[in-house]
Amino acid sequence: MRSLLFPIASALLLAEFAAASHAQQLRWESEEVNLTPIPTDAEAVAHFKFKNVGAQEAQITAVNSRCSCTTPTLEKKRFTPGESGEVKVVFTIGSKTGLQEKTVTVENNDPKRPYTTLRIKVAIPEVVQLRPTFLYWSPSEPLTPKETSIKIMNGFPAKVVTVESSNTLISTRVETVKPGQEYRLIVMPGETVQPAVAKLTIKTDYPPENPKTFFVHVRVDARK
Amino acid sequence: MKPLLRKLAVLLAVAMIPASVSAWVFWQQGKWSVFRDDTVPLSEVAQWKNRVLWVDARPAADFASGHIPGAVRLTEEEWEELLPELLNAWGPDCAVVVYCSSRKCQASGEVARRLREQVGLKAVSVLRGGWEDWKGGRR
Repeated sequence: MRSLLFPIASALLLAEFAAASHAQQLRWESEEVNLTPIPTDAEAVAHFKFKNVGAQEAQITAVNSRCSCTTPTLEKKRFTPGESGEVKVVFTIGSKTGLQEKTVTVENNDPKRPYTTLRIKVAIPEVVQLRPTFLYWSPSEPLTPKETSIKIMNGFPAKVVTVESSNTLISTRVETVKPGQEYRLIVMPGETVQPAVAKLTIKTDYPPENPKTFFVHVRVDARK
Repeated sequence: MKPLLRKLAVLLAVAMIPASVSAWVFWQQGKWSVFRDDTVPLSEVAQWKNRVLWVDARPAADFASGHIPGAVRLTEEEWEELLPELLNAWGPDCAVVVYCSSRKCQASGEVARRLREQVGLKAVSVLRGGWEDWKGGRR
């Protein structure tokens, strides 16, 4: 009798796993999508396909996103047994860079699995990397130049075209570290006892259709 | 008794295989981000002696319906529009604490990362539990 304990326990475990995996009404092709847009893309689109594998009509009651950068859409809400559907998620890239991970929650009438979390991972290529994007002079600091590093990333053929300062008291110059790859933006605060702020606009020539612009913020506090 | 224990040990060992695979997959997917080390509980922030600059990483409508007093808004979607206000409010003596809706939201982590890596601010943390914890009176 004892020798039967192991196979019986294993069979029960397997049966439970099998029952659990078939209990849900909606079967998703994948609950996670990886996207790799190119620099010219303004948005990235994920398609989450599913099928109603249950015996009842499946009803999707809500599709929610926590981020205003993701817009989920659903062509219809009710799906008969065996019918397939799709949740389309549009991710707006904007000024985002690096790896972005966003989720969308799908609510449906399946009591065994009323919520499904769909995940999109978007690897946004960085064309130009500026570090840091904020330069600050405290009241006790001498008004000596500071710098921001400008790196052209991933071999993109981008060039810094112009740098404009919104404040005439704050001047700039660009020095080349490695041609086509790395530059140094030198920022010089003018001699002033008054506080000053400036927004530096760095214009590039890439991508040609919609060249990217970057910003560096400058703040000089009043001298003591 | 011994054979029974041996069988239980075998069962446990078998169960450990899928458990280990599952743990590895979850780790790879970053779903254990709840353990990120830049989060601080409200109780800890309350003890800080530095000035705290609260940064609200939620959408404008949520901010309008209620926010931590003195908080400034900053989201990834409106980064360039909102960043100047934060930089004007910031001072070298202050600690920046970013929050979003709840323990599950990701916006505060992303905003905090960009403030550290791109903007170059030093003391930037994420409020554990976000606005929900604040509103829940756990301060």
